[in-house]
Amino acid sequence: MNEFELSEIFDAAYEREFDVFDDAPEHKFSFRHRRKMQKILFPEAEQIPSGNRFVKRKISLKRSTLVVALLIFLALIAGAVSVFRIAGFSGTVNDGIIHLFTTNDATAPSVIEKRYDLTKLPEDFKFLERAGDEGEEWLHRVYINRSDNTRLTFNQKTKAMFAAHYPDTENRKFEEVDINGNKGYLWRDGNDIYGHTMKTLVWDNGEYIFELHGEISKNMLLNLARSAKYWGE
Amino acid sequence: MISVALAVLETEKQRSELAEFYEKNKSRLYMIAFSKLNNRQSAEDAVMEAFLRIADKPERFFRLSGKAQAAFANVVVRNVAVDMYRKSRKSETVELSEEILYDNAENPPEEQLLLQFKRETLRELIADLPPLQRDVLYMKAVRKMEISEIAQTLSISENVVRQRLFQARKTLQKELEREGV
Repeated sequence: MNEFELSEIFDAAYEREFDVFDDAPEHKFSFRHRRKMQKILFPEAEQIPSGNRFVKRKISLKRSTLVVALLIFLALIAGAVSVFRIAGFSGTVNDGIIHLFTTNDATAPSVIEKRYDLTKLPEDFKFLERAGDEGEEWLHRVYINRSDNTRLTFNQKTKAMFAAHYPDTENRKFEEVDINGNKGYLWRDGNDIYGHTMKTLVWDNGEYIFELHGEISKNMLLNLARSAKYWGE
Repeated sequence: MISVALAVLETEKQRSELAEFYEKNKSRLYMIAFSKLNNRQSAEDAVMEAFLRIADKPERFFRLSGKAQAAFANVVVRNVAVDMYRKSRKSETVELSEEILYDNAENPPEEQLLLQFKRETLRELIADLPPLQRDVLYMKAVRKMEISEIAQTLSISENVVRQRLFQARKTLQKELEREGV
């Protein structure tokens, strides 16, 4: 083995460890944090002398929304982006990435008010780590099977926060499935470096969006999804 | 601290690159920190602290590209968050006695140990190593950083770096003995 292979092994281990965070929803950083990062990255932008006062630049939300809408429109015209809709979700495919969105329902909770848990974990899977909680916009759990290092990720997100990005593998097909009377979509993500086939299942129960990623069989993934229950029931 | 970090980001190109990297990865890095700290403000502070450390020695970061940059930033944020968590709990690190602390002069370099393994064995070994030990091993053996650099980047003392390397080496040597190498 050489040093290049050594580097590859470490990079792969880290990619595998941190890929559970790859579809993290965009976090709205506080003004305090943004200001400090501005100082680190672009100190000159703060120091615009104007009568010995610092002038803060503000980009209006309306203007930035118009700019983004124009860019999407131009990209659509150029044929660089394809748009699709599957009931309950809409999405775009651009540059090899699928972006999935849901229609925000004004009546849906804006934070996690009810925590859902998987009640029938496959054998040998144990809880590994979590992030988020009730009162947050995202709840994230990881489970692991130590015998073969396979992992399951279970995310519960508010509709307002849901926006997911997946690599678009060739011949990807969305398979419609039923999760306790709610429509869901299942697809295969392709193989990871250990030869495991990753699958993703996304569904909307009317209040929240759930995502389940796993290297287990389709039937096990579906049964697992159907076992998700509000722990207050 | 901020002004010191600013001084080393000398070129516009470096600033732009780092800013672009920050924008692209900030939410993921925040979640990594949040998973350790469970507190929004602390997690944001951990992200900021991580970027300060990256900016303090930018040549290490800018030498890497793509996934290696992301891995490096992930490791730094994770370690900064763990360090903040431990400080908030006021937990004490029990240091090993000087006699058994890792000694650079007497032991072969870590990469020399690592290169003796078969690829598949090493892949499993690295995956099973405790994350904090893996991080220092990664920085020492793969990124070729000095102990003082690792300590500064991960916001830990040099003795803690040595301890973690010592423990990682023990694991590697044990595995090598088991394989009869």
